Amino acid sequence: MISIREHRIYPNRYQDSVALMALSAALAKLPGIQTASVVMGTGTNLDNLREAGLGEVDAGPGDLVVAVLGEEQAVARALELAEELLAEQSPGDAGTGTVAARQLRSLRQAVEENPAHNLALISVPGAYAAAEALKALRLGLNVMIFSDNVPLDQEIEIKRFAEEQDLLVMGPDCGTAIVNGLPLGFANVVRRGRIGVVGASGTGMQEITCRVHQLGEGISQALGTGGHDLSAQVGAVSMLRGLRALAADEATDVIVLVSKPPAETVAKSVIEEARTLDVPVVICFLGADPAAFGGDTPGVHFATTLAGSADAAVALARGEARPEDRAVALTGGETQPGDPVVALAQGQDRAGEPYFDRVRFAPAQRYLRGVLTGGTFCYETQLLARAAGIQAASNTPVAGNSALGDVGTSTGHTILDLGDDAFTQGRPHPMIDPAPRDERLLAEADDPATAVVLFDVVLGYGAADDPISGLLDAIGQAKARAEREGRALAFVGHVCGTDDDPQDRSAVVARLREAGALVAENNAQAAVIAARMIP
Amino acid sequence: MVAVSKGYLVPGPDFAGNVHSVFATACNLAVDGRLLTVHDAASPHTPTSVRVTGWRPRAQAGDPARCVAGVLSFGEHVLDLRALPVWTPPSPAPSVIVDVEDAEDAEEVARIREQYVEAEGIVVPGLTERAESLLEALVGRAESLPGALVGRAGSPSGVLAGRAGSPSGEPGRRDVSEAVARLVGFGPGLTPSGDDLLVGVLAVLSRGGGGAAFHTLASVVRRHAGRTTDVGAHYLRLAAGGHFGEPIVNLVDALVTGAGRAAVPARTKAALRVGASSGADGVAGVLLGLRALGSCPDRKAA
Repeated sequence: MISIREHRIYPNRYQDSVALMALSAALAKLPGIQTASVVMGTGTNLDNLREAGLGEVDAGPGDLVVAVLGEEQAVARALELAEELLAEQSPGDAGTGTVAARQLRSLRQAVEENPAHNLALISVPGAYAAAEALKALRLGLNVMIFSDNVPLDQEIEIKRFAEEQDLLVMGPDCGTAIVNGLPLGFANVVRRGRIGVVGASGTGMQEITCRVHQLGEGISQALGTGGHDLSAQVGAVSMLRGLRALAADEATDVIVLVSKPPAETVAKSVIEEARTLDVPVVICFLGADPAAFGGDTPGVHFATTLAGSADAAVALARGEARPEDRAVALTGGETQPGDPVVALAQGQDRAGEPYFDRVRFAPAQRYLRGVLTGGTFCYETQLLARAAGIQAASNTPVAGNSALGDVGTSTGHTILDLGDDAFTQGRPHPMIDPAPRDERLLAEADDPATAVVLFDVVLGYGAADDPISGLLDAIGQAKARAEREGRALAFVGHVCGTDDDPQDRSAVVARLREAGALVAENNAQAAVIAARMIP
Repeated sequence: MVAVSKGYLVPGPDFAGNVHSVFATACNLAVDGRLLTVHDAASPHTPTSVRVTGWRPRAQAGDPARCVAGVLSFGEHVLDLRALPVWTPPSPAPSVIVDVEDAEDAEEVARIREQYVEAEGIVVPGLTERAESLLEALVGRAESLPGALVGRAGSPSGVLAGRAGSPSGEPGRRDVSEAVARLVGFGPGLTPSGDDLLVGVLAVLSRGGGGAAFHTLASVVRRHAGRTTDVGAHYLRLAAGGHFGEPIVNLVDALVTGAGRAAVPARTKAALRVGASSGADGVAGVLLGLRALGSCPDRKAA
């Protein structure tokens, strides 16, 4: 057989390197092809084509070149295949991102392309989200609605329709889910396992799933419901469906439900449903009194902190006794020798003195200032600080705390949710762009009345790639300024994430500790330590 | 869609240009001989990027781009660049501590990169040989300029501060030029692998105190930059001016200063995630640069 060589030039056409390498390999594998190369037409690449026997090609650096050498019919077939494959691929991005998948222009196209698709993630402006959700439901898809600002009557309509179709709706305003091991929205890299979570709280779910992972267990599914699902109007449609789905799931041995306090009637219906199941359920309705719902029974276990609910779920999964929630106990009680919170604090101090006894505040330093990016972390912190006797102001106050008049200026004890609309109008959430958190932390630290600055760092998909370089700078600056003014500052924080997250939790924790911050194991622990440090 | 931050070389408040190229998650604007990249905030900063949220390009190549009083418009987009946080890399370390732990860090980086390259299937045949030729040329040049590259630990006047002799080694320069010519534009992709590797090498030499070697390599790279794609040439010219993207700066700084050592694995992973294979090629360049600085064990860089 006589070999021939041919090439095609696609002017001003870019594809990313992985796509081009895959295309080169696909062509080279064809019967009758001796060699094939798909490259940009740079001078060096054209030299290489010539050296490889692929001939002289007259192309420019912005042109894509497909060159093949082989039997005549095989060469024609290879060039046709290249044409087809290139037509299927959208242009890649500008060298700083990832390969664009083939663009689908409708949900229907996606279902037609692969009928096995059974979940649609909808992220469009709130005004359009309901219409898109209904389209997806009509195609037989379960739905996750990332969008917020969806009117409540539309949420009710979507969820009622989904119930009729026997489908699940996560959201609206559902920022976190892990479905079949796939993190959606803001979620962390956790191992798969036997604990399922249904939550109306994004960072609450992240805290629980991460803690379960850190304790050596894993997550079967984590289903978000959106923040309004447990309102009296909506009636926990999504939480109940998620609860039943997990109860029927063979891979799930324990279920955790998490939410800020639901409407009382709704809470009762959820708890009643949980008591009917064969699978043990841990319920964490932050701020709600378990006694009001009948307390623990063999199948239903109440927890009052996010970390405590993860601890309880892990113990149940292992058939072990449930550990005491020390964070809760410490809000009002005395520390005990060997207490893990004290041990953590001591771990920061070479002299063996607990961190919260070591920092010597100036007389004017009296206040706790919390700058939190997780809404549920802010909520839980306020509850634990209240239990420890600290009445704080907040832009999202819990019962007993006061609303901050000017969210730009803290007063007395202040615990802020920087992810709240008051701070995020027209700008990204601080979990995505933490610069506003760092600025506010610096401002709080500069206040001569501040004693303890409490913060959180949220890792995982969706969160900032580098969430702490700015934070470390801010802490460094704040400490230097305070020192010049004769003040001592305590920085207490926690890192919600795992070592498998792209940002690597251990590395983040190490850098924060290197900067002199006390890094607690979880949000509840950080809140208690911070509250106890207040003089 | 909102602009959330910009790189320190983004011009303003008034300029004009046109849309150079449009991709799924980014647009390049040609402005005064440079490319300004508007891209999704999920990607890290470059010196010339504007990061935006909710990004869906609605523009065509050739469309005019105009920035008036800090408000940038092109295609269907209007972006307010006023009062944006500006990403600026920290100043390069004044000195470099080269010790055993540095070598261990480099080993760790190489290990993570190897795993990544294997998992992603992005080995570029021929890159290693070309990279090694560059190293030989750089070290050969250094040997003709005592103190520029061959000094090892404890030699602050050589490697560490980069106070090399005058750039008079023409044979070395010719070798470097030949090696660079074989790398620029080499490999598949929008920014060919050879370009990305050179950026990594330049980053180490620039920020790690390889003064004379950096200037030699930078001048050669500038001369050859026209042989690659527009986007590749843009990043090469930036690198030759000592300007690099955020992930590579973070990684190099951790490696050459020894500070933030615990962050090296995370920073390596962040650098690897850049582009399709650009990150892996850039990290290969960093490892090569470390070897040129004499702070990395003898390991194939690419």
